[in-house]
Amino acid sequence: MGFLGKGLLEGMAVTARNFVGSYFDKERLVTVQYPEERVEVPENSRTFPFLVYDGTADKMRCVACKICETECPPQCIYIVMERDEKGKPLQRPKVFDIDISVCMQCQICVEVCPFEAIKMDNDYEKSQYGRFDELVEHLPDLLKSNEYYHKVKPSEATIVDAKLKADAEKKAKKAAPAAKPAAAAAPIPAAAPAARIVIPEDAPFNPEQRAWLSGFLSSLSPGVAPAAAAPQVASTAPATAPAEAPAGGWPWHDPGLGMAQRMDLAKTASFADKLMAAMAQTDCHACGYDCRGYADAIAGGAEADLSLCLPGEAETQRKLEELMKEAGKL
Amino acid sequence: METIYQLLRSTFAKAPDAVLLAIAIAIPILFIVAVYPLIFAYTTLVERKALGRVQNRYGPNRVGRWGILQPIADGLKLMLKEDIVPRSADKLVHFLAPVMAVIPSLLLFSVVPIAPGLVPVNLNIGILFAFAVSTASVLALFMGGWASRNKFSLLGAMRAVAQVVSYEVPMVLAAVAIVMAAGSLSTLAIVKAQSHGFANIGGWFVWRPWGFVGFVLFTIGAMAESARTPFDIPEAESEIIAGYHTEYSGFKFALFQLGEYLAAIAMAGITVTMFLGGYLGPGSGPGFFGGLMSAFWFFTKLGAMILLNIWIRGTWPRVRVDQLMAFAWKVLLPMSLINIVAVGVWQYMPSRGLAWAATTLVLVLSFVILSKLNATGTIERRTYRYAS
Repeated sequence: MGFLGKGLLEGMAVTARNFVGSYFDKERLVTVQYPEERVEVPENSRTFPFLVYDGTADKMRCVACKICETECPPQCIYIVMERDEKGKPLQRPKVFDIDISVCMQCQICVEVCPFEAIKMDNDYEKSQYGRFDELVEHLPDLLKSNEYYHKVKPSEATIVDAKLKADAEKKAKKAAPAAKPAAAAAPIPAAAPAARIVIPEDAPFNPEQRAWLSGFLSSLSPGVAPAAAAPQVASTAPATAPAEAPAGGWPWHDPGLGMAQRMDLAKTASFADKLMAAMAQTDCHACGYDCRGYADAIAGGAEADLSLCLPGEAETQRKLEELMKEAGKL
Repeated sequence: METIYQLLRSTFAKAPDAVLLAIAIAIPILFIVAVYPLIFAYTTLVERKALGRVQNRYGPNRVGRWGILQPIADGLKLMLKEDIVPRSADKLVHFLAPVMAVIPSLLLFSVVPIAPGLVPVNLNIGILFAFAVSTASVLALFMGGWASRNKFSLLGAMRAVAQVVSYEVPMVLAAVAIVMAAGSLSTLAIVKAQSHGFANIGGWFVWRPWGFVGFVLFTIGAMAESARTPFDIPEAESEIIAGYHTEYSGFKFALFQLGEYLAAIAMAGITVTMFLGGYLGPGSGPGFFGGLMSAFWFFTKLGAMILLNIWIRGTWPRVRVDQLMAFAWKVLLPMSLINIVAVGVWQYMPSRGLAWAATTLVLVLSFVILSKLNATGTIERRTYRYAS
C-alpha cells in the first residue's frame, strides 16, 4: 500500500536501525581512532625517501654520485660530496637534503640509484609546525639502518640484500685476476679542481662557488684554460698516468658542465684526458675508479668495459666508444 | 512572572514593590538567557553524536570524555576567530542581522510554560505573539543576505523569505485548529485544556485525529520555519555555499547558528505546549513537587522533539525549491484547512464515537485524495535507439 510519505517513514526506520545498531554491533563502527589506533600500511606504500646504511651510520651506502639529484623531477634533492682537506672526494655526502615539501614521492631516485642507497619510507607522520626549514630533511634525519629497511619493506629489502651480496661476490672474483691494474689505478688520487685559474683566493666566494666559477669562466674563455692546461697535459705520460693534476687542473672536471662543453675544454688534451672529459665528473666510483682512474684504465687497456659510468649513462658510453673508434682501439 | 511575584510578595511582605517586581522580571529573563542557550550548546553535541551514529560513526569524542566539552571548544574557537566584514557590505545592517536573528528566538521562549503557572509572561494572546515573533526572524535572515552584498547570500535570503512565508500559512492554520479546540490563545490555557484523561496523558491533543494531523503539519512547518534539514535550502551548501550567512565568520556566525537553533528549540517547545500537553504528565500539578515533575515532563518532551528533529535531519534529503513550494501550497495548506473543518465537526458532533468516526473519515479521505492529486507517477523507463 503506497501513500504520501511512505518512503520517508521507511527511511526513518533505516536510520533508526543504524543508530541503535551502532551501539550494539561493534562491526558497524569502522572509524579508526587515529592517534590511538593506526591502519597498518601495506608494504608497497611509500612516502618519502631515506638513506640506507649498513651497521653504523658512517657506513652509508650513498657515495654522493648525484644521480638522484640529477634525475629528481621536482629537484628536491641537494647533495654536496664530502672531500678531505686536500680536496680529495671521500665518496660520501657531506650534505644530503631532501625537501619533503617539494618531493612528489615518485620513487625515481630509488629507481636510478645504482648503490641501493636511497629507498622509500612508509612513515606518513611528517607534519611540522613550519613550512620552510622544518620540512627539509638533512643527512642525519635521512639515515636509517638496513634493519629499519627490513622492518618497513621486508620482502623488498631481502631482494636488495641478495643482489648486493651477489654483486660483492662478482666484484671479488673480478678483482682477483685484475688485482694488478687495480692496484696500479688505486694510488691515483683525484685532483682538486681548486687551484685552477682566474678566481683569486680572496674573492668573496666559498670554495665550491670558486671551483664552479673557474670551470665556467674557463669554458667561456677557451684561450685561457686549454692553453694553460695543454702544455701540462702534453708533458704527462698517459700510460703511467699523472699522480697530480696539472697546475691548470682539468677544467672539464666539473659535473655542472655539459658533454659538449667538457669535450670542448678537452679539445687539445691527451687521449686519456679526452676520455676523462667524457665521464660525468662526479667521482662517484660506481665504475670502481674515480673519473681520472677510469679514463686512464681505459686508455692503458686495463679496463675494456665502456659502460661503467653510471651517472654519465648512455651519453658517456657513446662518447667513449666514439673516442676509442677515433683512436682505432675499438 | 506573576507566580514568582506573588511568591516574593508573600515571603517578603515589607519589601518595596518595585524591587520585588524587578526581581520577578529578572528571574525569568535570566532563566531564558542561561538555560536555553545551554540547551542549544548541548543540542549541537547531541546532534553531531546522533548523526554520527546514524552514519555508523562515533561523532565528536576528542574534547573531554564523550566529547562533553566540544560545545565549549566550538564556542571558544568561534569567539577567537577573525571577524570579517566584506568591504562593500552595508556595515550597520551586516552587524545588526545576527543580533536580530537571536532576539526573536529568545522572545519565543517567553510564552512557553514549563510548569503550572510558570510561564515567563502569561500573555492571553500567547500563540499569536509566538507566531508574530517567529516570523520576525526572517527579517534577520534577509538583512544578513542583503547586507553581505554577495550573490549567494542574497539568493539564500530570498529563498529563506519565500520558504518562511509559505510555511507560515499551514503552520498558523494548524495552530488555529488547536486554538478552536482549547478556546484560548493563551499557552497556559491551551495546556490546561489538555489536562484531563488518564494520568494527564489521555487529554493531549495529539491523541485526537485532528490533533495528530495538526501535530504533523505543525512539526513540518516548524522545521521549515527554522530552516532545518529537509527544508534547509536557504543555506544549501551544494548550491549557494552557506546562503545568507556566507559572509559571516566568528561570533556573528555563531549568533546566526544560535538564533537558528534557539528558534528550532522554541518551536519544539510550542509544539509540545500545543499538542503534547506541555508540562502535563504523571505527577505534574501545582505545588513544589508537582511543579518539579511538570518541569521534568516539559523538558523530557522538549528533548524528544529535538531528537525527532535530529533523526529527521539524519534521514531525509534536502527538498528542491520547487518541491518545497509545491509541498507547502498543494499538500500542507489544503490539509490544514481540512483540519480546521475537522475540529469544527468534532466540536459539534453529538457523541464522542461519532466525532471520532467523522473526523477520522474526513482526514483520511482528504489525505488519500491529496496523495493521488500530488502523485508524481512513475517515470517511464528510457529506451535508447542506438546504444542498446
